[in-house]
Amino acid sequence: MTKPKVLFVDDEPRILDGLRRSLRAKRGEWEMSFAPGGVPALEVLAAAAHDVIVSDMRMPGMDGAELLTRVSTQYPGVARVVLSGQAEADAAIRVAICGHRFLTKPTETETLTGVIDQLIMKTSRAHGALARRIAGTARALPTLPEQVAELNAALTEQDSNAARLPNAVAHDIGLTAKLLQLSNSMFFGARPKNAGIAAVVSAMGVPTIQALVAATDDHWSPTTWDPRTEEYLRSTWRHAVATAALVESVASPAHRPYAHAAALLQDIGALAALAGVAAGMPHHIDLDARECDGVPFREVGVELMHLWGLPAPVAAAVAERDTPHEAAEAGLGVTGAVRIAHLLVQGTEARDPADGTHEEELKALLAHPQMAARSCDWAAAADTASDRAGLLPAA
Amino acid sequence: MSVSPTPVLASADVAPTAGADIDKPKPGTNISDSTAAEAFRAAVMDHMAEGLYTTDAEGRVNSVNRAAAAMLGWSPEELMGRSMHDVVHAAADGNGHSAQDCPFTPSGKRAEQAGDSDDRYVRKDGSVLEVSHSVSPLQVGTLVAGVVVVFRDVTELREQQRRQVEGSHDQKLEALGRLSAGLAHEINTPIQFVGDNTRFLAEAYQTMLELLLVYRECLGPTSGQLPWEERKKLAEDAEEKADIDYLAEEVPGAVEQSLEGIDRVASLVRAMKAFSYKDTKEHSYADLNEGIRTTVIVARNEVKYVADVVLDLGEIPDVLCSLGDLNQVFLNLLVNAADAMPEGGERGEIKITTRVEGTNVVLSFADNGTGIPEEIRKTIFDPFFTTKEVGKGTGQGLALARAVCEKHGGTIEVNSELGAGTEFVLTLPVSGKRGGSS
Repeated sequence: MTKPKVLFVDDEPRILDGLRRSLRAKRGEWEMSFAPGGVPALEVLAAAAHDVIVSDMRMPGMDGAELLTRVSTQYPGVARVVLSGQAEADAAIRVAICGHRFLTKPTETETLTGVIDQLIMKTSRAHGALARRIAGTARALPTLPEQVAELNAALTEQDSNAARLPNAVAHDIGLTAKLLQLSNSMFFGARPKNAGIAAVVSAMGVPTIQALVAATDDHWSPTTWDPRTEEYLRSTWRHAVATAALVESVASPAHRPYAHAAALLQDIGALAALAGVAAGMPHHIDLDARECDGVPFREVGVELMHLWGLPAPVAAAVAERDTPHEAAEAGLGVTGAVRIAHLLVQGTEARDPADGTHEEELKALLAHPQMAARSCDWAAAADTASDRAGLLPAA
Repeated sequence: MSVSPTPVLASADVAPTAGADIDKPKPGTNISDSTAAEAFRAAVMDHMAEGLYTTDAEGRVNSVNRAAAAMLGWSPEELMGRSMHDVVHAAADGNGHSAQDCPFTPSGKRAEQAGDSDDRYVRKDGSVLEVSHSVSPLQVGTLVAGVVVVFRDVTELREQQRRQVEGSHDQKLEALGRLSAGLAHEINTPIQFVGDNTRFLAEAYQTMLELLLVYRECLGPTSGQLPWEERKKLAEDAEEKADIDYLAEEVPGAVEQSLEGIDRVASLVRAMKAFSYKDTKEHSYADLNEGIRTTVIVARNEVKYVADVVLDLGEIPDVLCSLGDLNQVFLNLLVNAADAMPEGGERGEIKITTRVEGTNVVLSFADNGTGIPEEIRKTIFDPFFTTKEVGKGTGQGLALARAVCEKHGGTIEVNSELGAGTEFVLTLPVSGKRGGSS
């Protein structure tokens, strides 16, 4: 079995020497290469397939953002880690778009090896490398044009209506995923643990969100879709938003932030695959089978969340959305809550047409003490969530 | 003079003090010169922009001109006979002179000419104006018979001066803000590799210690029974496991690079301290070459990605200057030179030269960047002129550079050729004064 290959890029030879020495203990597990800049790095990648690239940002000639952007299109299977000593906010946004994980100098060896080991692992058992390549292409996820308008309106209205922005972000799948990815990193300030998207929005600050919206806007053209894809995107979006709204009532308070994120991001794999197509990748998308090049959208989505370092409970809930759930005595957890919300929404207009209603399972789940303890007309609540999602700007 | 054309000239109503009665012709003035005297009076009392008033020995106003009354917001009649100290120094916002200290209340002790000084006057409506005034005592024999005060409103001038100071302060903050991000990068990089190397050295030490223990065991009395060959084998195996050749090769490098990294951080910290050294008004003799070296270290991260800095520093005498201010100028010129490098072009060169010319030191900052178009060459030193994008420059850098050079009695000139580069030449007198000799 060949060892996973890791490439380190930095214009400062001392940094490469230091990494080479401090990572020597890993020589039995990884095959490591070191490149003093963007151009030699691309030569190394051309010579052999790599698993992970760790790059500095600020380098003369081709800088890290440019290098990683090229890697994302030429070698989408390579996980992209940024290791930078830079602190400027405007550069951080460029990094945010092209990287998967973000580390600041100085970073301890254990942290670095931990991230690399994680990224060497692939989540899809059946389609590991393929799912990695499809997910790896995505730098940012498509936002429906109406939502871009709503986000921009919310951003300009910050002073008069502070609640509008978190609300607008919480309805945007791509931006929510991006913010969760970034909130995981020291690079973008403090990390609110188990935080809802509103907390992430306020921790990151409006200028960062603004810059992100502007930057992701650049990477997305809404005109590329045929009517079928457009219709699919809208129904997917409505289902996600309705489930996310409903799961807020279903999940226990401690699980709400992650459950909300998981519900919203449940079909992130489809978005990632379509973003790849929009970026010119020769993917074959099968909307009926929910597959991209034969890989189920769900596997692409889970791989993407893994690459982006999204919280494990969120990724697990997305992975298990279509798996019949047997609730544990102790509680429903994030996964259970998302499954219940999904099944409830299946009985409404906001249903995912590819899935059925699973009435038996739903009945059993609603009988779980955590659900039964609350006297709530769940079907009516699901209808309300569905109707609201139908009225929101993008629907 | 019989009739006063305006009520301002009401001095006849109060007992005039001989010399203070300026609206009468001066003693010895020929009556036939009355037209000239009237013109003089009109100029002083009605048209002069400066405020003027006189007081008697108790500090009470006995004449006041139109400008003074207007500036203070009173009518001239109201002021006549009042204590000027009570009028302009009374309110809380006034400068708090006590009546004894007040220059308007002449006492035998304070009969000297007060000269030009700054003061704060309170208007009738309570607002404050900053004035520059001169207070001249009227001495009659050994007695002081009153004072003559001339003043002008300098509120706006002072405000303008404050704004200038704040402006240059803002400019410094901006340069610092931009620097601090770069400095963080310059510090974080060595910290990263010093940390990595030190962790490696810790491991290497552990490995070597284990090897040492094997050696000790081989030599120890308990191994005495083992044949030499077996002992040698034991040691050789341990050496191989420790990969002693690799350690022997890498450890010196790791130590050397760690020390180098620490040195880098230390020299940067030293340079940061030296850069803002003695940021006071006082000038002292300083080595400008050292200032340039310091600035180059501090600005390294701003420059190193686009250009090489070549220093050609001649033997120059110390210059009487404010080094902190000059460092700021060097920084602005250096960062401008780096910003002048064409986007995505070849790596540029910034050459800094110093030399002596007569009683001057000449410093040149030359880049081979894009050059400055002819049509804007005249305006580059104007405040707020900038070609940089919003947020990158405020257009204060070169304006500040010129102001600092002038303050040092020197000049700053620009030579530029489109596409070939730009050279800024600073000429500073060693004495720190224009035309002075050292």
